[in-house]
Amino acid sequence: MKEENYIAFDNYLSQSLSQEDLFAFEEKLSTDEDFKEAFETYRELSGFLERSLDDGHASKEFETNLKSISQNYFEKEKKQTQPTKASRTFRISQLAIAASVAVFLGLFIFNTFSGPDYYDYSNHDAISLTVRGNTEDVVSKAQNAFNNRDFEAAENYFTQILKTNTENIEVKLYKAISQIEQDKFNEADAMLSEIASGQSAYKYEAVWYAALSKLKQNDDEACLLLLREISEDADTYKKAQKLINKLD
Amino acid sequence: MGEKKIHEDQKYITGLLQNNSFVIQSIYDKYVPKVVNYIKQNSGSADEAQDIVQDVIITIYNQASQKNLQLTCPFDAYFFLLCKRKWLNYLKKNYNKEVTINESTVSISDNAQELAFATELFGEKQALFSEMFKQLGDACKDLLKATFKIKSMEEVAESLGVTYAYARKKKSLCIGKLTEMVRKSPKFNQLKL
Repeated sequence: MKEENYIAFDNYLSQSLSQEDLFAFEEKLSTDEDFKEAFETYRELSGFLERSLDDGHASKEFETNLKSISQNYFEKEKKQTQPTKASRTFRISQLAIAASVAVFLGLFIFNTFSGPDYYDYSNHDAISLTVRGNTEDVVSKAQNAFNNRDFEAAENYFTQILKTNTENIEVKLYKAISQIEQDKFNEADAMLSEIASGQSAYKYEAVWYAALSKLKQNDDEACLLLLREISEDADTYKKAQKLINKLD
Repeated sequence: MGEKKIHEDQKYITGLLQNNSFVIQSIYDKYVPKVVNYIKQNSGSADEAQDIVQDVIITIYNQASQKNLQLTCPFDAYFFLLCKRKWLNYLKKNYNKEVTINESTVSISDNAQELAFATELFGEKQALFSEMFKQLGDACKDLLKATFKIKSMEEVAESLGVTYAYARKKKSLCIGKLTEMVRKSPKFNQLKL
């Protein structure tokens, strides 16, 4: 294939062929098999290069999100399939279940007689930021601090991560949650509204936490307004509806 | 293809394209357990299943974003078939195992077979592209990396100390070179069908 053909491919794809050249090009595409195959390959390669070389490409964000969901899923899966230990610990765990059922029942009864409270919702799921086999220091420290509810330390680590990884929305979200926990509402609310105005996968998660922040500030009105913004297909929709019912 | 009806499970493809965490999670909850079971029953581990599933979902995403993937069968059948075949290929490659595929227990529609096959081809092509890119000369590699990272050809030209026209020409010639390497590779002809 001649060099000029590749230059023509590029011009065609970037739509910078003149009307006349465009006709000739399309004519050649429909008659010349070899030309067409080369063009198709060229086009597929361009798409491939864009996806694999551009760090800001949507596919990179997708892969990061997918990996974290996958990691969570398989961690649970592996835990479940671990064989149960000696029967004595089994009895202890049964006891623990019975005890927690009692506690939950108590909480349930208590809750039905009192309004909802931030602490009903602040039992954050454990986060998982580290990829298997990769224990970058700050990242795993941040994760451990957050999961151990040491939110002050967690916030510091998240800030450090964001210095080098300024666009990591997931980390921004966790930082905001750590701030709510420390009653740093202004900073948290600003960060959450930034995430909520974007189109990332964490959009409604951010709205949910913004609402919880208002709940903790005893501003039920603002909390309700935020909860109603959560779209029906969001993960947080169901719990948002429940909270709306309790507040209303 | 145009005449076949699009299955309602197309929502999974759309959800993946939108990077919708809820949809991704529901794929894991609904469809991944079956894959994990299958792989575990066929000499695999949960870790291996995790990688296979992840690779398959990324291939589906890439194919959908580049080629407008239209699902004409249930997502379940398509997804399971893809994972299963990827697993069997993996076994063949890494353990040199002769595997017999027992299809009799599940009836798989032609649509699912056809679609899974197309996705598999797409995935293999991407792997070939990536292999060929590694073999490309350093000058071209650097120029392409700069081009797709920086996006503005003016800036690329400036950073490389060449004129705009030269940078653009060089970019198309480098992709052209890659096109030639791909088309000449024996693997490419196997993938052409």
